[in-house]
Amino acid sequence: MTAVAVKYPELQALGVEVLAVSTDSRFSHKIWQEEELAKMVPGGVPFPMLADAGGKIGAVYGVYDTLAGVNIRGRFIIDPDGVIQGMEVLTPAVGRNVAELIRQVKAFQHVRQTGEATPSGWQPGKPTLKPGPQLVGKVWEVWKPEMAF
Amino acid sequence: MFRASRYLTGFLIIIAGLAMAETAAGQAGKQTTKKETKMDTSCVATAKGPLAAAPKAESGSPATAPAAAPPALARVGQAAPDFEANAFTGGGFKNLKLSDYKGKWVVLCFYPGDFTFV
Repeated sequence: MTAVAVKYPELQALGVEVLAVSTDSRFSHKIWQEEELAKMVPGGVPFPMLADAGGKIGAVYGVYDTLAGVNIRGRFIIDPDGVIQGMEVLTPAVGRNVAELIRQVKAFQHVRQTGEATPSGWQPGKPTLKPGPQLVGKVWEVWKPEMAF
Repeated sequence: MFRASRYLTGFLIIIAGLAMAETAAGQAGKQTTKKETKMDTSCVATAKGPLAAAPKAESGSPATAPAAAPPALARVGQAAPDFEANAFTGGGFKNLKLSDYKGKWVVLCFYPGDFTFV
């Protein structure tokens, strides 16, 4: 949460809005923000914190753990048309990687703008693939596995 | 006993009268029901949670919402299921819908709970 908050200006520059969701109430969100998050990030997290009472929203997104009664860590990238482009779901003890989130957002935005495809490990500036009949069987000519790193 | 039941009947009549007055007022001033933009600081605030996919014809169609249809499950390449939730935002409380963000990129992050460690 706070890691996303630290990178929030970069996400905003990419035109991304962040929504955080847990099964806690809005009152709990407020106190967590004031008592803890604001001490980790100046001003606290700058995006809305949503209350998913009973995990009903999490259930629809496939992240609600009925035994624990909470939503597990799930992160969804939704494009301007409201279509889910990416999802990542982790069990609770492992946190997510915000740098990878930002890389994926940049890749999805690039694909949306250009119609190109981004190969494994793509970063802005790296070569992309132009899908089409002439590329079939010829990817080896334009892309090597080492380029993923 | 007789007296108590008389009181009870009177009480019920008053309740019925109030209920009728309320529905009449509700029908007279439909606009007053749309005051959810105001910050809600009561103990309990309702939010619809997952919203059923909107029917194709949005305008003009009568409000026969297919409430029975459950929202589709989230999948990549498919429309993100819409929802409404109470939110703590900008220091205050209000209800937000995912569809409020149409036209923007959105990162939706679920996490196990406030005051957890990761």
